[in-house]
Order: sequence, then structure tokens, then C-alpha cells
Amino acid sequence: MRRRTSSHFIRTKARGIFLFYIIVVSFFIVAFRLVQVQFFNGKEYQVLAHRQYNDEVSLQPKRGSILDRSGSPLAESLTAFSVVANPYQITDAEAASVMLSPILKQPQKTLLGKITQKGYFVWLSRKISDEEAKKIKELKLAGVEIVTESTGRRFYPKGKLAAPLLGYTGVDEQGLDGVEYFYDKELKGEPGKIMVELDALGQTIPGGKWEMAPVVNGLHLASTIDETIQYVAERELAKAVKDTKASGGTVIVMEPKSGDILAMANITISKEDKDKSGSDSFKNRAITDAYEPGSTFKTVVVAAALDSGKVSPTEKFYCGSSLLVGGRVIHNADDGMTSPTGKEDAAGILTYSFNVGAASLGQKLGNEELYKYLDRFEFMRLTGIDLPGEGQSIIPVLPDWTPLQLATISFGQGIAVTPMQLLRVYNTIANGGYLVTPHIGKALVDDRGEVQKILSFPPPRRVISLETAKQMRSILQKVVEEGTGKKAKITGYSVAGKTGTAQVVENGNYVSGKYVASFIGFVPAEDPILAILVKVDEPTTMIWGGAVAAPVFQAVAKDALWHLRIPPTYSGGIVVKKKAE
Amino acid sequence: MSAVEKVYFFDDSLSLTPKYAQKPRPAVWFPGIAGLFLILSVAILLVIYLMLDAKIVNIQYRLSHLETDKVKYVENNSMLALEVEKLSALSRIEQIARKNLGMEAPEERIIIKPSEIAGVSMPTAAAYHQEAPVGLP
Repeated sequence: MRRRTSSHFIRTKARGIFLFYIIVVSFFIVAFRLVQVQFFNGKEYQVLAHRQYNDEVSLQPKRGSILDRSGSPLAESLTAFSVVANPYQITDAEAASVMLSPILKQPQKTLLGKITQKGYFVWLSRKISDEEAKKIKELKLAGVEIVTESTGRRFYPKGKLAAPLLGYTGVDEQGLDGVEYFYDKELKGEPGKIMVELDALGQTIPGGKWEMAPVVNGLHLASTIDETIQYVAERELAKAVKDTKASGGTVIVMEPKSGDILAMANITISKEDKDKSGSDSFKNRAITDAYEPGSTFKTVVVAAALDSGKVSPTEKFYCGSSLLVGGRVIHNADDGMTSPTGKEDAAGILTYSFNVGAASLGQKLGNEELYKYLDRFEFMRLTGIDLPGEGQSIIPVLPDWTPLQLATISFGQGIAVTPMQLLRVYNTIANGGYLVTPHIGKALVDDRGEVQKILSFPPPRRVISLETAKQMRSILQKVVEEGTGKKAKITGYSVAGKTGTAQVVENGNYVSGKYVASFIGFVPAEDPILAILVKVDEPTTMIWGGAVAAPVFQAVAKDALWHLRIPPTYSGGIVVKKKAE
Repeated sequence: MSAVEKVYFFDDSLSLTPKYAQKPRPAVWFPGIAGLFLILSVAILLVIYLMLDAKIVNIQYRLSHLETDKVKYVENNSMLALEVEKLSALSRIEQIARKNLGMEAPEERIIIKPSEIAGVSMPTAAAYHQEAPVGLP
């Protein structure tokens, strides 16, 4: 009994020792593996685990809107949808392409090519409209999905209104032209990211790890554009272009004192089809294209002459039918305007737009003095407007000016300036002698509507005296009341301005039968609120600025004054009466 | 009998009882019930805690779904706002007014200046400049 007990004890002890060694060895194996996992392959497994349990989502900022001066959106961004396909999951590619083709407005063969190619993922169409996404969802096609894009889709709720001015964005909402391009940095915002822990179903684990680098949405641009005035400008310009069978035109409406651009309309009709917009209809010709201004430039010369003191307001100049300068004969325009006495003062030269008188006045002013004023009016520099692609003027270098060049420049030939540059001079006259920087941006506003930054531009610079500005205002008022600009008159308001009719230059030569008709003016003349430039390119039924452009000025200014609630300046209880009354 | 079997030590002064039984028998019924009560309490608290935790998790899932819904509604709202902007475009309004309603722009506008009738002041161009920010020195 004793022996048996002892052997049993020994066996049990041996088992215990064996078990002990097994445990110890197992421990060492586990410990070794642990060390291997933790210290040797730790980083690799860390990355794998991180991928499995963590989801990092890149957050794209919402692009800021472009607002008009009353806060109405001219451009805004919303969530964008795209259509993707997994070709391996599509059972009937032919039928799918037939159904998708009319919705996506793509040829059926193109779509068929896309959905039959090898691979698990193919874009069918990016950033489609909400309606298109809804229609495709309703089709319930296997292998065709609607996905939400990380970047939004740019919408222009007012359609083509101010399109060349606003510009456009690319597929990833990057600004490519116009205001969209110039203020891209402020509008686009800063991307952020969010990191969350996911469960086995891929859902966020409540209370799990949650890290976030906040996304900063783009700021909204509060612009100076007035939607109503912009609409009126585009409507009236389109009407004039259609009526005169012109190739295009430009209208700029500006506040003379602040430099705020209230409207900037551009129309370009392609040569091939005058009823449709051309491919370059997004070009903002108001600032990009320099043109020969013709008689509207006489205002610059007369202002320079009066301000320099080289010419007195009462001094008279030869205004006969022709003048010989540098071996060439200069004629007055064939518009039926003649000087009864053959001599006119500065006011007369502008009122009836005598080329000969302007050339005579320019000769009195001289090369250097005129060039000095061109420099003062900053014709040799960009206006500094907050838009991309501003064009340079073409002005001959001073020492090379011949007597003929001085004469032709005096009535707006032989030089080229942009519409914006020229309107700036009329602004200067309108606001009492200050050159202001034209601008579209007013302030940057956040999502809560709080102003984050008020945009600033170079301060106004005095370029002509107040006295000269007043004299010029009076002269330009006479142009509308008695001279070539009668069609710019607005009942109840005093209007000042100047007409221009210039021949078109192509490849350095004047083209017969092609003209640019223009009118630049401001209203009310005694205390201007609006300065407006109207330029109609290559009108065919009529060519004169006074007949083509002045009525556009009148129509735009009349509606703009009404919209801005500017009361008439004429005296009397009832200012404007119905014809019947 | 094996070596690990119970070994009894005999002492004449003591009755024949195991050594551990020599101590007076404690009243085991009280700590037993107390222990049971304690265990039950802890279990109940644990169940309550788990129920609450599950509820919180459910609520958080629901919140997460509601937040997703909210994003959708905000997006829908933006789409509707865009639709309103599109419908209120001036070109559309003018087209409807002219074509559908047969309206026309007035030939002349009557403007009455109260200042010259009843001595009431009217906004002037100067007043407009005061309202509008002007950049001139």
C-alpha cells in the first residue's frame, strides 16, 4: 500500500514537472512572439490595425458664394453627384448604355465603350445635376452608382448674367477666369480631415476615437455688382447689338466716387453666326481689349488743355472742314455737324465733335503736356481692377510723336485704350478730379454673415483740379443738350457725356465700313451717381455713337436711376407727366 | 489510506472531532445572506449599467443617423434656395410679365416731389452719397 502510494505520488509529481515545463516553454514562445510582434514588426502591424479600425476622411471646404451688392447670390456651390460604374457588375451593357445615354447627354456608343472596359471602376459622368442623379437612381441599374463628390458643383442661379465678369470654375471647383479666378484663394477655403474608429460593419463606433482637423469653408465675396443694373445693361446692350447687327459690345456702369463697378456687360457674336454667342463669349472685353476710342478721347485732351492752363475755356480754335498736318489732310466727321464761324472754343469742339478743332487744340497743348496728362490719367498702367487678364493700352512713346500723331491722338486715333481706362477719365471728371481704382470686390463675409475683411484698394489720387472738373462737366452736359449726344437725354435728369465713332483697326490698317460706336457719360450731371460707358462693335445699320450707343446709355441710366431711387433733378411738383395729361 | 488522507490527532482531553472543528461553530447564515445580497446588488447594478450603456450606444447611433439626415435636409434646403434664386431671375420674371401676362414697361414715369408740394424733404443725390461708402478724401 505504501509503495503504491509512493509511485503514484512520483508519477503525479512528474506530470506536474512536465506541465510546468510545458507552461514555461509556452510562456517563452508566447513571450518571444510578443517581443517579435511588439518590437520587430510593431510598426507594420500598427499601420495595418490603423487602417482596419480607423477611417480618415478628407473634408473639402465649401466654396464661398459670390454675392451682388444686395446679398443675392450670383454664384454658389452645392453638393455634386457623379455617376460611376463597375463594368463587372453590369449584366446588359447594351441596354444600360441605351438607358443612360439620353440622361447623361452622351452618345450611346461612348457610354457602351466606358461600361465594357476592363476594371472595377469607371467614371461615366462627373458633377451631374440633381435631376439627372434622380433619374439615374430611378433606373436601378446594377453596377451603376451615384456617388457624392468631395468637391461641390458651381451653380450660377441667374444663368448667364454677368458670365464674362464672374468667370467659371474647373471640375474641382478651382477658379479659372473672372472673379472666380481673382478671388480663388479667398473663395476656396482650406480642406480639413476627420479620423474615426469603425466597427465591423464600417459604422462609426460611438464614443470611439474621433479626431478632426476642422475644414475652413471659403469666404463669400460681397461684390459691388448690382443684379438689376447688370440685367438692364445686358438687356439693353443685347437689344442694340441685335438692332444694329453689330458683332458685340460692352457696357460698364460705375459709381464715380467710390469706384464700385455696378455692372459690366459684354456680348461677343461669332463671325460665323451673328445670332449665337461665339466661343469666346466669356472674354471680358471691358478690361481685356484695347480699342481706338475715337471722339470719346477728345474729352481727355480738352481736360488736359484746360487743367494745364495752356488753353483757356474761351479760347477759340480753327474748326473748318479740313486741316493739313504733316502732309496729311484731317477732316471732320461726316455727321452733318459744321461750325458756323469756323472757330470754336473747347466746349464747341466737344459739343459738335470737331476733329479739326481737337487737332488744333492738341497742337496748342503740345506733345509733352498731353503725354504728361496721359500719364496722370494712368493710361500707361493697368487700372488695378480686381479681375484677371487686364489689357495694356497702346500709346506711342513720347519722343517719337510726329505732328500728325499729336493731331490724330487729339481726336482719339493712333492710340488704343481699354474701355475701363477711358471710363476712369470720365469718372475723374464726374467726381471732381480724383482718379479712383475700379473694383468688383467689396468685402469677404463668412457663413454667419459676419464681415471678415473689408477689401481695400489704392486710394483716389487727384489728377485734375476741381475747377477743371466742373468746367468739363458743364461742357459734357452741353454735348448732350445741344450736340451729338442728344439721344442720351433722360427726362427729369441732367446728363453729361460724349459720343465717339471710330474706325476699326485690323493688322495696323483701318477697315472700311467697320466702326466702333460709343458713348461715355454720367448722370445726374451736377452730382453724378452713375458713370456709364457704352461701346457697340461694328454696327452695320447705323454707325454713329450718338445714334447707336447714346440710346443704350439713356435706357440703362434711366432704369438704373429708377432702381437706385435717385429723384429727378428738374424742379416742379410733378416732375414727369404722362403725355396724356 | 494514502499519505494525503486526513490525519487525526488524538487528545484525551478533547472529543473525537477534527482539528478544524475545535473552534466554536460561527453563525455562517448572516455573512452568507449578506454576501448573496452583495453579489445580487452588484449584478443588478452591472445589468443596469450595461442597459444604460447599450441605450447610450443606441442613442449615439441614432444621433449619428439624425446628423446624416440633417446634412441631407440642409443640402435639400440649399437646392430649394437655389431653385428660388433661379425662379426669381430677372430675365425669367420679365419674360413671364411680357409674354404670359401681356405687361409692358410704362412709357413715362410720374415722379412727384413732396418737398415742393408739402414742404417735406426728399432723398437727393447728396443723400445717396451719404448712404453709399465713398472713397474720396
